[in-house]
Amino acid sequence: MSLSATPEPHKGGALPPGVLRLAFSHLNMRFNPFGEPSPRERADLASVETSDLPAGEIVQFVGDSGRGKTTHLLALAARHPAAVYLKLEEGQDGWTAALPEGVPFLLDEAQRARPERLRALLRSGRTVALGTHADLSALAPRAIRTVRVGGWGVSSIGPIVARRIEWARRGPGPVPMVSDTALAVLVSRHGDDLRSLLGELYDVFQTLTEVGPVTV
Amino acid sequence: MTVRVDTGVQCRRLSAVLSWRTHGKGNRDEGPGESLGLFDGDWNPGEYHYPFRFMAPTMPATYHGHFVNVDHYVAVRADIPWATDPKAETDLLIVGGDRADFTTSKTGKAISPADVHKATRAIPNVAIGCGALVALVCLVVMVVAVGADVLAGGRVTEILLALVSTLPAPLFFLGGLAAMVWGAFRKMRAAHLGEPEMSLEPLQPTVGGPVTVTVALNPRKDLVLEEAWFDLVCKETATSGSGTNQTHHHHELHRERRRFEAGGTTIPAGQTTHRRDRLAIPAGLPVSFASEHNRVAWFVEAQVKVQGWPAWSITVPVTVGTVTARR
Repeated sequence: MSLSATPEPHKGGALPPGVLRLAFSHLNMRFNPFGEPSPRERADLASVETSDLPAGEIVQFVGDSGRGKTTHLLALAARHPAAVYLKLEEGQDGWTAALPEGVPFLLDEAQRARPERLRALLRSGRTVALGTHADLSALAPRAIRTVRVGGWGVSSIGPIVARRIEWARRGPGPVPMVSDTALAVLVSRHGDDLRSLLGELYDVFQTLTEVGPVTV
Repeated sequence: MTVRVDTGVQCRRLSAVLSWRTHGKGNRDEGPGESLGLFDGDWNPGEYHYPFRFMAPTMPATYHGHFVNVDHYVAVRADIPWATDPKAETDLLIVGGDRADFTTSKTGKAISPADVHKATRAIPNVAIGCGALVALVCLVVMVVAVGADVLAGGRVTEILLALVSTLPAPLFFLGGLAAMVWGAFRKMRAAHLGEPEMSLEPLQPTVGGPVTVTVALNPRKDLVLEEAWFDLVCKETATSGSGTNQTHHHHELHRERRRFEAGGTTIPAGQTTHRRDRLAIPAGLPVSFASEHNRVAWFVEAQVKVQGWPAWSITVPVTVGTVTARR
């Protein structure tokens, strides 16, 4: 079964020339693929370690800013719709609301939490995933799984970029292509800072005038 | 809308929603949308067509910028029991709009120059009052901390250690003092320069239309103008992330400067002098738009440099709309 919605063409006279066209239609896209996705889209687009989060397990995603810790947690949130996701903001060192029982707790920027609060959480037997800049395994009463986030290279960034482009695709036919050579240039500029690298691709796509290989 | 059915199925509701949303560098904002129910019942294999129409919204207009984009979408969805709902979406263009501005943001409401002047005048008093309070509280904390050591004839290092133990009170004390000095300076300048005021005519100009900027000076003492100018600016701001990971992305779409004083003119005390210039909002530029994380803002920045005093400056937001279509 399929649905399609097609607007009738404009009948009210000529549109002002050159003023408006559907967004990114010249690239066969609907929007800039490297813009900000919604949290749900970000989880769908995530190219992350997708191993599940078994009940009672504690996992920490450790890495610097822009490497994909939040994306990992959002991907887990998408897999566990009942999970509680909480991001600790600057100056916030804990949470006040009681956490519902039996659901995973996904704590972002966990290094901001008070150590005693984290220690109690990790001893509770609850299923927990942490996004953190620092290794927090010393606070856990038992071994926890540690996933180092980062170390992105051409081979791992390529699928992320391709998925983003497909996400923005408008219809069948060619779309802009980012070659491995271009990715290698970007990696040499940004290292494994994925956020920064995707930010440059945003600017590049803003300036593209036609479908074809992307140069950076 | 076209529905192609392979095998017979029940449809609880076939609906179409017209709504706008932003895309680009900022977090996505979305309008409330208008929904139509098109069908409910059973479908046999085959192809079905459901024509429908919405009234085109008056705002916001489609906008494709650098960091901020606003588009309208028609999304259709069939609610099928015990199955993934089939859905489709298409974007469409909404040209113009017949409202002067569009804002869904509490902070994006239009502000008149009078409001800006009122707020600006209050700033020095707030700075002096808050600065004095903070400085006083911190001073008490520090005196209590070091008082015992001083009275007991403690060594300098002990007194300093006691003072350090009150951190960040000494820093806040200095910050409070700085705020008081800054506020007092602003009041002194106002006493000398008067309170220059900027006005705009019309308050809500249109794209392609004129806007006249007037700066009125009413000094309390003779003053010599060194330079006076204003900039008409249009800027996109998109905000991504949240909390401390929030990032503001700015992109200037337009800036035009007009000088209405080359310098050297003396303005006598007590005499109101007006400096006025007129320019057009260039055609092809966007109207004002503000949603929670995305904004296209117009504003006028004016600066008056007076001999012997730091420059006086003010920024007044301008709400730019499209020409109202009359039918």
